[in-house]
Amino acid sequence: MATSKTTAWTVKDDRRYDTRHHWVKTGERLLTVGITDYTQDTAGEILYVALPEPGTTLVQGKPFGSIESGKWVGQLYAPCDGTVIAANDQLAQEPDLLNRDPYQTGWLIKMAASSEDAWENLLTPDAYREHLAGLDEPGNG
Amino acid sequence: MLPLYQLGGVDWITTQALYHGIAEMDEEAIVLCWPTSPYVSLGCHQDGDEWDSSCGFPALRRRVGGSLVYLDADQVFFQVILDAERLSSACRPVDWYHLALDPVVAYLGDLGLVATLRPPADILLGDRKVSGNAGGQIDSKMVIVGNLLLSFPHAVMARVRNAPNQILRQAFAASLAEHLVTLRDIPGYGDLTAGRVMEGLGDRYAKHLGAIHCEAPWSRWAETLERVSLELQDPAWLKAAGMRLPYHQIKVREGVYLRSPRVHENDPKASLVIEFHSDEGTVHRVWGCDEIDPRGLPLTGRMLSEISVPEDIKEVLTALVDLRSDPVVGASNR
Repeated sequence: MATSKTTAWTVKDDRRYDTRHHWVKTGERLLTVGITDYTQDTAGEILYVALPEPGTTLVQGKPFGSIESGKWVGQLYAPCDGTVIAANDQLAQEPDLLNRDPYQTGWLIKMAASSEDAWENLLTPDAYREHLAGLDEPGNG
Repeated sequence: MLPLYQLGGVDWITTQALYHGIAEMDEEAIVLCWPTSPYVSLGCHQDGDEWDSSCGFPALRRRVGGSLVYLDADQVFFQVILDAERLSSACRPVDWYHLALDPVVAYLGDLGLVATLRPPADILLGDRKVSGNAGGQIDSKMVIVGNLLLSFPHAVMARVRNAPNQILRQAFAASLAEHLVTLRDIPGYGDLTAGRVMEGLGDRYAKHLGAIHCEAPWSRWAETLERVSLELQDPAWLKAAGMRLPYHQIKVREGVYLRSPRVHENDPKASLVIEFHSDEGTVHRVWGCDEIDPRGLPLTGRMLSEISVPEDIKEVLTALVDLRSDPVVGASNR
């Protein structure tokens, strides 16, 4: 698997991204969504994750769940419009999977996108690397 | 411009609706206030069962972190609502806590008190907590909220927290008495008023963050505050399932936890309660275990391996300390 580092964060080449630091991977029919290395790293030790029920409607850019670390609640945002098909039940017992393995076993939800061009509207790995590179200075973001 | 709203006494639900609503309206602000009547505030991800709804106080669930707290007019609230762009996007929550809470630490210094920020978000005088805080993202804003304790009723706090038995409640009240301090507890500060604390905090927020005193635009806020007030008290939201550990746990302050096994109420081990200090990995007190100490008095700083107890009890105690200091089992589907 090709990976690369921009600043300190791993970006995988086999998926796409949004500017709120979620990754999206295509399957045969569904999209899998997770948080990036950037999110798990800046959040710190993740202690809890709240995820939506299957069937929940997702609206691009709107929160669909939340994570808690160090008394801090961060939001999870839908990368595109669609419907939740499944949530990762393993996170109920092991929320730290989000820290240990955010790109594989720490996936969050599987979803059906509302439109076929959802994938095309996401950032390529290189575009996401550029986005990360712009975060280093105060005021960028 | 960063507005500073020194609101004084505000009705209980509005004290919480303010920072949620201001963030939703995409405004920055520093809000200083206190509630005119007591209530209970649950953390965003807390299990709804941890609130004892028979306690007689109204309750809400906030959208920032932390756990259940009892709040009243002897606690001065500070609410910091900021644009995410104020810090680098690569910043951690601890950086936001510093930005928002350093003025509080400085204000305590103005009073002649040596305070420290104990990460992530407790402010201590010595090793006792005087201010509890929490934070999170609400829409596009970074929100950090907390309070300074003028006085605090330990027994009332223990009453509003659901507990499987009275021993855990008594232990909670005793542990709060040991690990919390209030400003009026300190000799020479007994006449400190909420208004004076608010003024002092306001000066510090003006100096540190450039906040400017403003009149609150209540009429412009009214519709949002009303809607948010209802949302925070919505029964489904308030009683939602959340974090559920393999044992009962109450955080007293950062690094200090009460833990009790989740066993059937008729099981004699149900009454075991330990005060666990996660930094040292030590058990500082045990309640409900006559074999250790019939008075339940402190076993200060004892490693579990040094405590002489029957094997079956030791097994239970080991299970209570042999997990992560902030373990959370669970993700809820909400």
